[in-house]
Amino acid sequence: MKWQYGIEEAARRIAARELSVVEYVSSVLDRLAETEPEVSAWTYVDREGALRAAQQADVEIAAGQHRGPLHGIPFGVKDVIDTAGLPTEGGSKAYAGRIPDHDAATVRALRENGAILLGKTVTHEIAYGQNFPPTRNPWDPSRYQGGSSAGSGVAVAVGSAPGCLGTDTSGSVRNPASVNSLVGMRPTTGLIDGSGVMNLSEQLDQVGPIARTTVDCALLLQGMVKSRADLGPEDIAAAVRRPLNRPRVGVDFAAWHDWGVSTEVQAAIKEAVNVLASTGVEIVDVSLPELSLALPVTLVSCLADALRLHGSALSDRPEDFEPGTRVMLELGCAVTEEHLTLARRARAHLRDRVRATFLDADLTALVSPTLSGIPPRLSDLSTDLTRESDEADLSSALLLLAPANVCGLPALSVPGGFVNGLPVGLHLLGRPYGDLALFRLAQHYETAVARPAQATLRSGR
Amino acid sequence: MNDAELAAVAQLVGEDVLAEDRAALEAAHANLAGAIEQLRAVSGEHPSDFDVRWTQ
Repeated sequence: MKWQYGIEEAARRIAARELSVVEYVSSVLDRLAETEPEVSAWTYVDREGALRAAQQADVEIAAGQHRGPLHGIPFGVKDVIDTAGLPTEGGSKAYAGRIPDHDAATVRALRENGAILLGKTVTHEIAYGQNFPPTRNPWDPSRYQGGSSAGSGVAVAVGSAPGCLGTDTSGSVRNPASVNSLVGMRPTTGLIDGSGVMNLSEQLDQVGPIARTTVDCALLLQGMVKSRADLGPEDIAAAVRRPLNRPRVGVDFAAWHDWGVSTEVQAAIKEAVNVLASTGVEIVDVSLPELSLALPVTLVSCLADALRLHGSALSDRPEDFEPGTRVMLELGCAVTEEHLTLARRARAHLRDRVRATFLDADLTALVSPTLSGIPPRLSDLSTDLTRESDEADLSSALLLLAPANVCGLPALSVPGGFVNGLPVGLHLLGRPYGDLALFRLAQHYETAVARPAQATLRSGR
Repeated sequence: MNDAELAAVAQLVGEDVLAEDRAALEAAHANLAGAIEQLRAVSGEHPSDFDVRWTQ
């Protein structure tokens, strides 16, 4: 079935004229129609527009105007990322009917590279993670579906898109990648143009790709970057497969325990670290307790930025926001200039400690679990970012993810094993503009374990 | 939350919505206070800006 082709495989077949773009896009759209009743990953599907673009792509390719590996590749976009002429409502009644005139810079770049927009994927309201969207986890529909890029993760997992864009304020690309056994990347701050996004916090947000393999994720990112030279060589797939020179990864096992990572997830990711060690990666024990500062920095920054960005809508239509989102926006009124100064100071301190650790130990990456546990059951879930951590509280998940956003560093989640039949992610945090090195390390691991990454729905589809 | 903070919320969303949200808002505020205490414990300079790139 053609929808099963990932980005690289489809691109190879399209370039070789073994597969028409219309065949491929039609197959993906059929898969979308088949799976959507079970998973609710999409808010809007532009079937006609996608098929029209597919026909145009076939005409161009037949005329010898092949634009590269993304030409004819369909993709989905989180509902906080602007798409010209299509609804971009941020998953909120407060923004119902909002239709931007222009594409976000990342969407524009992908379309210029020949990629074909399928539609918009479900997000937690304004990407705050405080409500319960309809999207269902394909591995277990009774459990948390990942977020806030919930639909983007699930769509890729079930094959209703080979790749999607999400946004990541404190892990919202890597979290659904982990939950759905996918690769999700938060690029270095500055690598891509983030304009045209309904932001939660401009200083923390980053648009990022989600795909089924590391190479597919890298191909998607290459189509979005401001300057390809800042990512790597033009043949990015070959570059990702090129071995790293004496890779060294840092691991802070004590922090995993202190941050409440479950025993089972610790065991799974220790096994992943053992795989890295057995395949030539040097493992270095490090101590970085300062990473825990990322959570209060994120909270203070988000509260202030979100109120500034969404305060007008809140004031005009407070009843249209979900109660949890509304309370977080209101709480922004309690953040003072002094608090923001404290957050900036802690951010600089954290950045300096991370930098010193990487340089002193000559690290390629810092490795951890992506999430502290398996996805909690929806019936047990509290999404409240401000609560103390406990087993069913997502704030503990942010502990492992937020440092990348606070420090502006690249970070990636790659499928790292299973616990009780549910996927867990291996998280790699890298150096500024070390995005390619993270892809190489992820590819190294992916090749070593050779694990399939396709969710099978309970219905057997 | 203090009176000034509550007044700011009321001005934003109105008294009725504030009354509806008050309990959740107070609980969330207690956790914000904890976060601020964590930040106060950090020593060091107050930077004027933030650079993602590392200087050697």
